[in-house]
Amino acid sequence: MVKTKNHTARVLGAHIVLVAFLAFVVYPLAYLVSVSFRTGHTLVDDIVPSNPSLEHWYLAFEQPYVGMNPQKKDIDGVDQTTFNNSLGTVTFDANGNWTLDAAPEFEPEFYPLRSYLYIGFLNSVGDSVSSTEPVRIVLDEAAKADDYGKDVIFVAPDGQVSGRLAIPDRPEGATRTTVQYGKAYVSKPVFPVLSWLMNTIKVAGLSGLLILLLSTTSAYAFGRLPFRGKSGLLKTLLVVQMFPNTLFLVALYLLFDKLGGFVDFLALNTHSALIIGYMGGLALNIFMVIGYFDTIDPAMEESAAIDGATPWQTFYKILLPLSVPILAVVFILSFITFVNEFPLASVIISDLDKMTLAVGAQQYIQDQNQLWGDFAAAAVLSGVPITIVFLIAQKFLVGGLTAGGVKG
Amino acid sequence: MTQTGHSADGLNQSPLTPSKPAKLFKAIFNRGNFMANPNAIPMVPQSATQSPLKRWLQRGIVGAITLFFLYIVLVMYSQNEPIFALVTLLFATGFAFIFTSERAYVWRYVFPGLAGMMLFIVFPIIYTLGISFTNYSNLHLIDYSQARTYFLNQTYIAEGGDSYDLSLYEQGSDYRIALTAGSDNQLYVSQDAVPLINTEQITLQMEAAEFAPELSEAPRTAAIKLRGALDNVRLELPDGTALFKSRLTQFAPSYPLWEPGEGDTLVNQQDGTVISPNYETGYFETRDGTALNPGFTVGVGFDNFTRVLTDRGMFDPFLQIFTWTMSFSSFTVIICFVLGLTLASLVQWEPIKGRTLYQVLLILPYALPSFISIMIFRALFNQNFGEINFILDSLFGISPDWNSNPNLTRGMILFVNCWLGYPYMFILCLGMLQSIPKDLYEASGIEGSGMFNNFFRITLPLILKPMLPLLIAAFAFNFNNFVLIELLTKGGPIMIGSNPPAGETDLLVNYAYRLAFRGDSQDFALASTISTFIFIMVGIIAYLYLKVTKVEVGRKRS
Repeated sequence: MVKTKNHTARVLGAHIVLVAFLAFVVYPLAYLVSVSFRTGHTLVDDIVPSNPSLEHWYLAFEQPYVGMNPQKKDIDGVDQTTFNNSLGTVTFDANGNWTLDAAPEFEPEFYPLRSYLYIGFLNSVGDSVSSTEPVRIVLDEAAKADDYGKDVIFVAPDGQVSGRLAIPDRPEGATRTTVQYGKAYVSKPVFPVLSWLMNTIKVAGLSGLLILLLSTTSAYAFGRLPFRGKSGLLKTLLVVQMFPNTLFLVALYLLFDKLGGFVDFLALNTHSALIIGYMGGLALNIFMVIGYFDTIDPAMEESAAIDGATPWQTFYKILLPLSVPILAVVFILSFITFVNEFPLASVIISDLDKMTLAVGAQQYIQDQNQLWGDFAAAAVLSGVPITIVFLIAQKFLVGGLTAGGVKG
Repeated sequence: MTQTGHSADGLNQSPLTPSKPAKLFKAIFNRGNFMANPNAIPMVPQSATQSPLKRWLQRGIVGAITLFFLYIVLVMYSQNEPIFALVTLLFATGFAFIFTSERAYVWRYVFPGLAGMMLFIVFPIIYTLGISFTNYSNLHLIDYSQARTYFLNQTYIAEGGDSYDLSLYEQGSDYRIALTAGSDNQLYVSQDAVPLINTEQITLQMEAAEFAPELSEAPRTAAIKLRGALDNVRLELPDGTALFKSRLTQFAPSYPLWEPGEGDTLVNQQDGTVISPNYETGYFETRDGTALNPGFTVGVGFDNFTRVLTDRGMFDPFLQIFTWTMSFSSFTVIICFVLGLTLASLVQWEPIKGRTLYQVLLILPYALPSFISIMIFRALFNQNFGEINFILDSLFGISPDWNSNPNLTRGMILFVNCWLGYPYMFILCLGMLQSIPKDLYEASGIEGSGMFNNFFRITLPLILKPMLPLLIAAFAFNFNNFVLIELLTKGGPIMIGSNPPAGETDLLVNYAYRLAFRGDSQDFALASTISTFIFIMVGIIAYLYLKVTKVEVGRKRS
């Protein structure tokens, strides 16, 4: 092809369009990561958190998090003030002398507890004008005193420490003098994120394997073996797979309610019932596998059959090894579909620790109580492995999707 | 696998010549079907080459599974579920036949899958259709005989009958209950001590006693403090008489409130009211037509359908929701297709460097679980704290109300769904673009054709035909895109003038879910009626899909 001046401009234009579009694609993902590192559950902050914290990540890994809340107390014209920073009671006088009587609010399992003290000058709006170097305090079991350096003041759970904060002259523009301190707090994990992750992998993995087994055998019969009523049955399957289970959730709920009375593993609120219920999504996969089988030359199977192989042997020993790519596609696609599945899982599973991620993640965002930070950390934790698997497998998927059908 | 077993069958046979029955089978089968289906491989029944040991092992397993199913049939039958028992019996028979008979050999491959789909798709669809002809809802959950039993189990306490004075004795933090009969001063004491914090009915056995228990008697105020719990206590005397609380510190025997009267009526023993079941409304009603809860489930014919189509509180929302559902799915499919095709054309254009990286990044939204990405957008579009309103406010000084203005909410939903949905179209278009022969473009280039001309004259026509079935399937998927709406807006804001409540952004399927699981009425019947309308729509879409797809298998696609 002939290259024109125009050509370079076009290439550049295409790059610009793509990059602009990618910014729009990637931004929400960056935003999610950002929210997971923010302090508290705020939605308003810079994309690089102004006050980063690992609290949400501790909770996502089901670990308690020991943190500090910044507090302040006005000391203008006050002789003496006392406050509690959860390590104990602090007495602070106008000369800057302070004493901490340790009386920790939390159990030893949450040690070390940390706090700090400094003088801050604020203007009339409450913004900080200047501040002194903070004094850092740490409370831990007496035996661990040597673990901490000289830059922190150590206090044992029953000890007492004291010191002096130099109070400089009030700078220009400041109207208030405050003592700023950190109040230690412990936040404990509320939701079993790791169990949800395990449940999801278990349910989606087993469902995917079962789908793989049933769809390949069915596709073998449809694609290779002659039997009466085949084409009618195929058309029925094609129509049936267009009805999503959301349309008959009530019926499915009542069905499992009944079946659970007869057989334990089909009872409501069990993973096995959910897995069995997912087998309704089989038809689509059958079509994908049939489509792939059609591209394999049957000559090999015919010669195997002439050599006396049974249909099962030809299927198991000849056709299946030739179909590994489509098996991967079917498994990965069903796995992802079941990880994402929300309606049936939300109807069948009601126990908090039996939930899958799709259902569990919704527990963070209730009408009154929206824990966006915790949600973001749990979402990144669970979304990253799935996304990576998908991206690794995407080469397979491009071919498989074009051959077969639709994302369910 | 069974090659050794095969030769053990008959030593004089070489592995190349199958046993006699197999030959025969092949001969019969090939004449009929082999020619019709070039891909079909010659059939050999499994048993023909199987060792007797394997055959018996197989029969044993099939037998064991069949026995298990028969056991379930028994359980079902003993629990008074003859229909379930019958269906399971048919299933077990089918299973046993298919896995033992050689004639049904092929069905072994399809039976488990088909059975699963029958149970979890076809049966629920039929069941849903059935519900839509009843009044099944929160107020009509139980059937007639259960409702009748409910009434017959109700009791009342007669005025002026025997009464028993109550006293409570503290045993730790628990209480023992003592009663003194009003007629003969006989003392009864409860066998067990209970904490009296119950909110559901408990029954305590009383024993005749000579002396009060050697425990400290609770002050009389305790009976006031514990009155809630005492209301739920049923005391049973040694002769079996059941006592309930009649006054603050008194228990009295209770009698059945309803006795069967003439026909299927029930007579109130207290005031003589007669109620009879009304099979039209599904309630027990008094003579003057007052309905008593609980109601029972009855068939109501086409009432639900008439209600949806004639009641203005339902028809207007229904029509609006239907229109929105149609436009939502159409716009989504069109926009996603255009976006996907444009991006695919750009990415597969050879002069572009880093195409693989672009491709991977572009399908990111498809890779991320949708329950996460939808929630991200819910945060981004938050009315007061969302990043999008923050940017709009600082740039243009506007702050659109994404959550309460119906049209803005719809716009937001379309935007989010396109973000989620374009990668699928992108992947499909990418595959199809690669299959367009390059020389077409070279020829048109020589003729001096430009980029746009190429796109509209070559790419689009060639891609549209194979894409059509996939576009229809995408339409069907979005027509029932329950999760998007449920997680993003929950259907809100509520439509004014709708009764029962409907959401402005509800799709039909979300509307059905709202009727069934949200609000007080839990109208499963009405929800099933809406579902039936959706079944019809999906049926039409499926018909179109079948028209444009040729369902052909067993022939090689080159």
